[in-house]
Amino acid sequence: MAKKDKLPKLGLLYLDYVLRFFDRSNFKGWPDKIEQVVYHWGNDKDRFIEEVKRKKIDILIGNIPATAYETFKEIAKALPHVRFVPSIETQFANKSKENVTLFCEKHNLSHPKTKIFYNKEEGYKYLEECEYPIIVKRSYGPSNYGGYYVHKVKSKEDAIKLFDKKKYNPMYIQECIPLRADIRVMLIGHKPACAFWRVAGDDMEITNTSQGGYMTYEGVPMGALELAVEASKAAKAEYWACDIAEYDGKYYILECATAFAAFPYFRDWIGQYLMWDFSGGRFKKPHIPLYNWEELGKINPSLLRTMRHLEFSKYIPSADGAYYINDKDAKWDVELTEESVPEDIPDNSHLLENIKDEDELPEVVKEEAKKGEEIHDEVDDGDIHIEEATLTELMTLHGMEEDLAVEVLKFIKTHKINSLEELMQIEGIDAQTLKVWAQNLKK
Amino acid sequence: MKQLYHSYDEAISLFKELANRRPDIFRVQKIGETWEKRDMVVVTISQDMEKAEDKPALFFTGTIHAREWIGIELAIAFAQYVDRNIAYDEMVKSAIKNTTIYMVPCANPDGFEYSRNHFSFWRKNRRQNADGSYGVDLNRNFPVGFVKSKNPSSNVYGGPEPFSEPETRALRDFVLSHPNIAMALDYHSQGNVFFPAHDFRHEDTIDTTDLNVLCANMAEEIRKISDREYGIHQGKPPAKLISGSGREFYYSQGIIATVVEVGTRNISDYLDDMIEHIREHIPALLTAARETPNYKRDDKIPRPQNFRATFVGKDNVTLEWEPYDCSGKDDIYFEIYRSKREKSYCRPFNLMGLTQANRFADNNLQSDTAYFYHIRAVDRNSGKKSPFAPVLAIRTHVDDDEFHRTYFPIPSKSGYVAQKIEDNSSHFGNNSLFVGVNETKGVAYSVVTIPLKTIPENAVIKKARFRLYPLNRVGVTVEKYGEWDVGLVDRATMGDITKFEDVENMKIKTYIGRPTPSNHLSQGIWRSWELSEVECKELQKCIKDKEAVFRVEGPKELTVGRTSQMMQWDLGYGKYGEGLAFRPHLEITYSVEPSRIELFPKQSHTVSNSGTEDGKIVCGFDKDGKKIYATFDFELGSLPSWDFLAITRAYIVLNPVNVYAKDNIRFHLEMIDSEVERDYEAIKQRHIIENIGYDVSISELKNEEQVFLFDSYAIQEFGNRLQQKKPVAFLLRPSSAHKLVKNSVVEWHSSHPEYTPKLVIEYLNKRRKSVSPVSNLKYTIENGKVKLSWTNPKDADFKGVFVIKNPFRKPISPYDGDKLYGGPDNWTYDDFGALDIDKYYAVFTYDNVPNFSEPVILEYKAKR
Repeated sequence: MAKKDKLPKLGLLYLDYVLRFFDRSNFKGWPDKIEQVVYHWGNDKDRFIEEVKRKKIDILIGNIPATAYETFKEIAKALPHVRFVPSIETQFANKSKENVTLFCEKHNLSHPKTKIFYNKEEGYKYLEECEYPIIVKRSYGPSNYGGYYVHKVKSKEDAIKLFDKKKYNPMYIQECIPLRADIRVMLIGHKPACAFWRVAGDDMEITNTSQGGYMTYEGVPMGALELAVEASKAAKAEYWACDIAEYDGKYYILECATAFAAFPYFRDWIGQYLMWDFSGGRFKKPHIPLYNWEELGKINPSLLRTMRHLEFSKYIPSADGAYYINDKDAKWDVELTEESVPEDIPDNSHLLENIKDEDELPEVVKEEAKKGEEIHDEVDDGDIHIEEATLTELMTLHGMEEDLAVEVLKFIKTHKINSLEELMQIEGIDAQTLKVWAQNLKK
Repeated sequence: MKQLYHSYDEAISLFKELANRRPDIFRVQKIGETWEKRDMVVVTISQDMEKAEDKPALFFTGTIHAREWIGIELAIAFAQYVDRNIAYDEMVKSAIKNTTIYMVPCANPDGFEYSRNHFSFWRKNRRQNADGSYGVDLNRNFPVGFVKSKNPSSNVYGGPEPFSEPETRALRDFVLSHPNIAMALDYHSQGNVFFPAHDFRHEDTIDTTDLNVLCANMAEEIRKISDREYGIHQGKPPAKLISGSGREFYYSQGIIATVVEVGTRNISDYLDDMIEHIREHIPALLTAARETPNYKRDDKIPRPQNFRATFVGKDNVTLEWEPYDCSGKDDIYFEIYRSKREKSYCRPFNLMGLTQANRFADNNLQSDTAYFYHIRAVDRNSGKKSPFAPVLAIRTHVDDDEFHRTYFPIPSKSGYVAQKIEDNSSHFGNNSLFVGVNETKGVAYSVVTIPLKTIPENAVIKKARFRLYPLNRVGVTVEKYGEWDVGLVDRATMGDITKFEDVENMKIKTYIGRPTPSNHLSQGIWRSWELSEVECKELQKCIKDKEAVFRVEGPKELTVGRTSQMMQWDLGYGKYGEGLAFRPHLEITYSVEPSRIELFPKQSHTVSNSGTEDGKIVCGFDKDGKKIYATFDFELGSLPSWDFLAITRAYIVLNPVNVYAKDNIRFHLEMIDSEVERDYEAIKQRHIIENIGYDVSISELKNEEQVFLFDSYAIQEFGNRLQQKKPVAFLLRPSSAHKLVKNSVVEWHSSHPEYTPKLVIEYLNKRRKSVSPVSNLKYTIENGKVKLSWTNPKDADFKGVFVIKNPFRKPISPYDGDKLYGGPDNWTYDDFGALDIDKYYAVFTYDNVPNFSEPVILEYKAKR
């Protein structure tokens, strides 16, 4: 039996004041020790880098809060051989609403029309001429502040009053898509693994479950899932969440990020998926059926949040001749679900517990946050550099399948690649495929 | 087997080479790009390319399903055929002179290449789905009837929304920007069948007939090449209809559209099958192209309106339609086509007449036979033709001696038994009739038990046919081998009809009709097994058992590599059946041994110039050469009433006593008015009602009895006398080739007990008139269906009603529409009918002949 490749050393990235999204239990079965590194707010950069080096960590797993994004860009530079999961680039959208907009524009993802003004005069001028209602958001800071920084503004007068009072900079102004509900889609490895509607409460005009709306796992449209997949692929995100609005048959990304709240079983799935990625395919990629949420959503949330390490086996596709017969059985009959109740909401209290309002944040955190405000971000080019490609990145290529991605990765690791054409030595890759891949995959 | 097929790139190169060499006829354009960055192309074929966009166009799409390779291959072969033949072939020249052909040879290039290189049975395109699976079924991605599915890994996943795919968007944009497209053919495999566009409703659409005729005309071209018969089936509820297909999208744009399912496999053996399919379909495609200008959108000659049968007799029918009231109406004439089968072609050899009138009488029909009429208008100047009026279906009346019965199976005794299935009895009255062999079922037979309850034991079956409706299932793929036979079972050897062994071992008294070979199994078109005279006699013997049992059998062996050679016929009952309109049945035309009555003259006279003599029958020329006439009268009081009597034969028998004559005189028998005075002058002035039989010459007499046979007109006239309760009189008249004949007479028996003249009438007790129509016909809406109810007449001979519907015209014939019910009840549902379509319901009563009453017609107005 051939000796297996050595597995990379994993480390979990924690920050003070921020909920620990993963712990070791999410990586059940990983044979080696998993390290932990904690970033302390304030002037901790160098110490942190030292600790990662000392512990010989190859992969650092964890979300970076918006406020520390700029610092971590520097940290990543100082640790060129460490893979951040999700990558710093992937977490770009986490940082601010403005970044979400930039990200969507860059990748041609459907997004509400948005104007961002750093120049107050221009911004106020725009308020004079734009059509109302509009949505005004505070661009920086975590998105999950419970809607306190999202406002629906019905008139010019109200808008001016709001900006006078809140002094948001930049002025982030978005077309208002009329909706009573939006859709949260959570993805793992570009596949929707959980999704639900968030429906506004009776007297609310902006959807937010933490302000008393309710949610339902029923009838999430395929178009929303498709858009979320597109975004996840564009971000090359190992795991990802999108908030999507539907209006008049079209879908719009409202928010997207790698930071979101999720039940433990969901984090286990991410762990299983990451283990597949990190091991180059030695661990099996978990199979998570589409629309599983409609069924899991029937489970009482107080029970569901205690369930761990759920697994599904794969459906065997029908043989061609039997297509008419098999097709009927292949469809999930998920039409009937119990009526959802407010308690169905995934637990995101941790964020609210820790951060009630921006003003309550420790000064050091606020200072960190300010660091980035002057820097205008650019989205990265979206290219995958073949020598450093991960399985997750390879999975964003058109026509890629998981087994093929593992083969490509092996090939990359065992060959010196001079041109992409060399990949044609791999069974199942032809010139047309490469032509499509070449748009993202670079030597 | 795959080597001879072209790759997508090869195909595009071929088309480009043609376009470079013959830019006047061929053009290649890019219309879009796929997920995998392949070009979508359209190939335009038209004489005089600059004018291509001005001509009515045929839109050809192929291989929208990746594994259905016929489309791209046919497109290549067709283009090459045009290139080769254009110099001299009139069919080709005329096809592209007035018509432009736009071909998208392959509407799914990514999927096609995936099918060629990786997985032959790939069907969808290569979109990446949310769940990590691949592909959208492009032919479910169009908006009409689009269904949002949650199962992207399904083979028929329609995508997140209509037109989500670059391939379908390219097709849409091309079609929307080419209003000259009048006809669309979408090539698929498999099934040897046409699936015309539909509107998801049970009622025919106004252009159902156009679609069916187009398909039938193409099918006839195919049959010409290979003797393969193509089926035609326009989808209707309750059959499960596919959603979001291209065909319905084109149709929604006013384009005549159909799917063509070619062959019996997705990827046929190239040399054995594909070459044949291509050869079959080239003339079919040319036929469609030549028909295209008649369907130009917004510029059609109006179709004839209210085409109806105003009279249906036993051997003739009168058709009428509305006169044209438009400019140029004097240049319009009409073509009338007749056929004996449903969904027939309209070709020169079944064109029955041309007329400029708005009425056409068709004769020389067979009694008790179904006929289908098509009509279209033609502009004699341009040669342009209108669409067809909706097909008119009639059934000629039974002949005087005939009765008709249509019997449907007893559900509990009809079903299939299969070798490898344990519980065969559960199929009875429930499942479709499987016949043939496949891997999972093994050999399968079907048993159909037909009740023979209302047919008298002395019936003489004149003709009969057993009919089955082949289900329209793409899954039914039948190769070109084997045949399907129907046998009349010997009930004594029958055993348990729900046990496979018993069914296999039951004795067959006779197989009926000719077997249906596999290449004539056409989906959506009835198959008939017509009984010969000998077979009718066997069927006749079943009458005493009150039922006839048929066993349907097909091939019993599979060829290597095939898993199925199985046909499914509609049972017409149960959840898999499509109801009454598709139920198997046995049609019987029968007669019975007639009753015979002999009438003797009440009086007879000899009328000559010299006077009138009672009780004597002498006829000839007197001494002066003057004619001597004989008359005799019959009273008809002993006959049944004319209304309940069908005379099958009538004749007069005369016996000569003495012949005093030369051989050059002849005798004629006339029916005359019985009230005429029996004196010479009055007789000479008599009114002749009808001549009976042929004349008799002296030389034929020779003391033998002479029979003067009534023809049908004479019987009719006889009937008039009977109805008026008048006696009838006959007159014997001499004639000669010479101007003057003297002293030549023949004396006939007039009172001899054995040889006296007699009128022999053979007759059946049969109603001539229908019973009264129903009354109080009305409808209500119940459970989302139209429920019809009525009051049946009290007539003792009332047997039942026929309820039909027709969305186009008031049906005058009980066969001119979809049958909803037949039987003695006083209500029925229109089970699958659409509530948003105007239509006429008609109820006909019938007796045991059957004679149908005048219809009671109810107009249904859709709620809007």
